[in-house]
Amino acid sequence: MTWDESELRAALHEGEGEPLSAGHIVALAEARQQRRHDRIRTAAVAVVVTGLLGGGIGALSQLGGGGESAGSDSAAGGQAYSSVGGDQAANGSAASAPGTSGEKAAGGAAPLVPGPQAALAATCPAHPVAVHWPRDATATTTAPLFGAEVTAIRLCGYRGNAHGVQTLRGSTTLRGTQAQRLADSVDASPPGVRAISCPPPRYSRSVVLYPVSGTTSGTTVLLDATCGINVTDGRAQRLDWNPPSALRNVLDELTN
Amino acid sequence: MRDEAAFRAFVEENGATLLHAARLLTGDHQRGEDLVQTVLTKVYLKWGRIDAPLAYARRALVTAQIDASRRRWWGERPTETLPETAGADGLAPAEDRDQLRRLLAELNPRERVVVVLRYYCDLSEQEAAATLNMPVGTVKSTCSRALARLRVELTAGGAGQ
Repeated sequence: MTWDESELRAALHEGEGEPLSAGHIVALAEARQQRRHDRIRTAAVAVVVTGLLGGGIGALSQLGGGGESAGSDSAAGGQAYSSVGGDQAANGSAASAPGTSGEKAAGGAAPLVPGPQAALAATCPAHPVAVHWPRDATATTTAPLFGAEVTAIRLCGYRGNAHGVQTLRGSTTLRGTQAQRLADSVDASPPGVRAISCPPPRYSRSVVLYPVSGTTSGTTVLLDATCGINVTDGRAQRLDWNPPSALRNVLDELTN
Repeated sequence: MRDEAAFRAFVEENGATLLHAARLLTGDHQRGEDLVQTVLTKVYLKWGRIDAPLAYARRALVTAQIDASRRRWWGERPTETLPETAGADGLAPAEDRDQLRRLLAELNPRERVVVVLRYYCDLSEQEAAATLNMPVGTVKSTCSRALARLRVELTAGGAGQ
């Protein structure tokens, strides 16, 4: 059998002509559009409700956290430093509670940067910065670690784990006389070469101090509280510092 | 504001052709109705924003059919007999035309679309290419291949009868 294109056309046109109901199509389209609008409205309501719930929960948790610690840091390992502010207040000190600028905890935290305001407001590093101890008892080891006038000191406390890795436990900022008292007390301690005698790693503790004098950032100071309390800024050092009781409480809280 | 009267006039004028084209494309009476209904619903929702409604509807028709044929659960099911077609009862179409329609349903979806656009919708190769968003050369070769298959199958079927 042979066929040409006209026969193909005729075959294809066979049976055509059944009309379509435009009204039916319009009704279907309107219903479909209505369903789509309903879905969009539902999704928008869900987004708003979720946002409100999230915001409410966030606000409640902030209120709860603020009541306990006055905006404390959340430290590494989930332990929040929460009592330094209270101790300071009880001692009538001028120290402000840590985290007043909304700082965060270790783990992805931005390191402290130069500049007094930035240093005081920045988040503590997850692990202590490296400050090397002087090897010899040279003249520089007796030099003062802090400037003449210290207006504020940022303290970042760390504690070592079983592997000797120190992680952030808490932080705070001392201001005014409290900061000056710490600086004077450290500088008044006996200089000398650090005695490496009892460093069980799992109990290692340290506090890194970021002093500020007026508008100038001072040299970073490491305070090793593992075995006694030894302090250095990499050039000068002090051994067996005996901090005032109020400061001792602060240091204990920061490294617990 | 959507011009419902204009859309109704469009359906009055082109609905039957689009419905028949959909039936040829799907090879099934009911699926053809579903397909054209879906496409015209889209056209109505975009009415006023499309310049050439008929071209848009044709493009939507072939695109939807090719997409549907790619889905396994909506895939082609070759049958021994030609699906019942509306209007065929009282007209008693000629046997060879009937066979041509059956063989059309056995072409692959792209070949069938090209044949329907070229020989039912009477589009030129350029128009078919624009509708399918493919080169004119591809339309030509696809059409040529489809016609050759139809001829072979029809000849074999005729010889066998």
